[in-house]
Amino acid sequence: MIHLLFSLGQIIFISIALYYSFLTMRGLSFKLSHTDAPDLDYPDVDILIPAHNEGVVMAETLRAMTQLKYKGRLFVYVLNDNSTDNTRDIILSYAKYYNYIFCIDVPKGEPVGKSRVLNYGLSISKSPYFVVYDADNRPDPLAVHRLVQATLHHKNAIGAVGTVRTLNADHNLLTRMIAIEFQVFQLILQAGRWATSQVGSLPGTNMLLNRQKLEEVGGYDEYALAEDAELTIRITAHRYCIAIEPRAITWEQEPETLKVLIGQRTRWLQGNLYIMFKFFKTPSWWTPQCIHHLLHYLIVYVLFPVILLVSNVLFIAGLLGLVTIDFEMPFLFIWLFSYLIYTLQLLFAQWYDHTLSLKNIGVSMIMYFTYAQLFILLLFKGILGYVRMRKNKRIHWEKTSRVKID
Amino acid sequence: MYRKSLSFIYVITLFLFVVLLNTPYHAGDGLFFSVICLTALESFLIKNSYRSLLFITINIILIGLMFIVYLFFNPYLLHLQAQIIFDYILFCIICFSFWFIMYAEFSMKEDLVALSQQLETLKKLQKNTGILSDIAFHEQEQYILNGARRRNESCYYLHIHVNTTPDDVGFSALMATLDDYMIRTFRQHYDIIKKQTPTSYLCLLQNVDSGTIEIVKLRLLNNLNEVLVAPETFIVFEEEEVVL
Repeated sequence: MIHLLFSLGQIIFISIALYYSFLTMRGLSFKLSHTDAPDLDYPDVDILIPAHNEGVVMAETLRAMTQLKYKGRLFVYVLNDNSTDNTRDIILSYAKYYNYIFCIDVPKGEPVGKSRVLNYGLSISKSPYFVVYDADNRPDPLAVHRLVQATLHHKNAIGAVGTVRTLNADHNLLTRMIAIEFQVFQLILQAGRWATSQVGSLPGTNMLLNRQKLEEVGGYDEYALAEDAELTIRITAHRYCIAIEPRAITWEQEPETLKVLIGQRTRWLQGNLYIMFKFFKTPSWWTPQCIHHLLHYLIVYVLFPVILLVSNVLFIAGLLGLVTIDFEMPFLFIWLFSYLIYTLQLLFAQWYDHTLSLKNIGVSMIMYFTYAQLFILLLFKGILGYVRMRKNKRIHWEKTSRVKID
Repeated sequence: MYRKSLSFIYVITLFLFVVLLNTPYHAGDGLFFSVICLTALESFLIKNSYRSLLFITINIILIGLMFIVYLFFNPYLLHLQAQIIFDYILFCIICFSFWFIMYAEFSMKEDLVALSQQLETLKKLQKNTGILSDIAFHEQEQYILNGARRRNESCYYLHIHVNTTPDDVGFSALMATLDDYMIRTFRQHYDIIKKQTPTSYLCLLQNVDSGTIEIVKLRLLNNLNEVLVAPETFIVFEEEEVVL
């Protein structure tokens, strides 16, 4: 019986690994064959930038906004969420020169977090489309132009999302690993899924949405810590799609220390757990496309760390002679095979982004043993944080701290 | 022809691998070595880094899967697992190294072409703004003035000062916007512009009079009004007729 269960488990595991390899290939072929959509009438677009104590990065972000090339009218609303540093002064320095940059002071309120700020931003702006950028983003000049093209090109699209690249990838080993993780996420879970089944998900930044359709699906959920993932499911439940435009690129900085990364990812994981529980309470979400999203969240955030943990425990217990398995199966070879598939996916993502180097190959090879193991810790921290949040009935928004990058 | 021979080598590779799986393991060492060499050779023959990587990946996955299935159905060979793992790793490393050498060569070629193009542009323009560098401005200035002298036309220098300082937070963004609007406002391939100081520009306008200069100034301010708040309050013009 145990033998049968183990065999079944191995088959499911290898199938998942092969499915993700298939998505990698589909993502690559989609990205390589992607071309410009035909020119069209460009609507007015609002850019919403939530900002809470972002003085370190704000000037560079606004500079990037002034360099955007868009054929329609752009309005940049920087939503100053009660900053106590010089964020407001910097915004005003730009608003002094540019007639399309506005400093909006968001009133204090509960719950704290990005969703409430964005809902406020939507209430004071009026263009038919809006783009969200995080306060540390530096979009490429054509990013908004391409997002609009992608949205209008797909009739059923509520909006489009672009690619997020890492500004400080070369800073240290950690940022290099995060950059690789982002690349592989965008290749497999964004481009791959879009090419295979027209499924895309909102990354929280560098995304364009249709205001009217967003109001139809109910705006942002102010209690969601991963507001982008939660909104993705609701959009999918309303049978809209989110187009993927890989050439709409924005650059953002990633955490440079483990402490900041763990804080950020714990928040994401708590947000995803919130979605998973909300899923079971919301019958309108029980559609094949929503289940597709849910399965991905489960695989990436729950199943993957659990399998890692089991694998580690069995390996160590086996070495210490605490566990013996009395049937024969090529466990070591399957482990190696999975490790190679994982590493090859990382290399493919870097190949597309032209960041493949000997150094990055070395980093990719150790990522399974280092960065991936972090997900086990994150799962536990996320569950604990989520339970605490439910008990206290109050959400805690862990703000990601920024650094100055020239 | 090329595709046919490539497919042929590929079929031989897979055939050898299947034969290898049915050969007592140690006796198949030579065969395994041949599979490695042939796969590497094939990846080298495909002159496209994406297809080549795809090919190697499919091979790595296929051969890995074959090994797994083989070990599943021949559990008595599990004592050779370490040896098989070693061979499989060797196979992956050799194939990938071959591919990486080819990829590095492709990338270097691409970089070289991109750098050469960039160098050509940088020789004439400041960064990618379309504003001329000092050297390019003086070269073109001589041609324009000589031509104007022959045709008996009048030319004007227009100095444009921006009342801001490099310490201002929005300074670099503002100057980049001005660069962009200068290029759009002045006549392309006819008038020339360079940056005189970090906060001022010098434009040479040919075949114009004082009335035309006023039109140009107005046009620039009108264009800037699209994006800037009251540009006339911080932009100062100063014109000077060129004595030919």
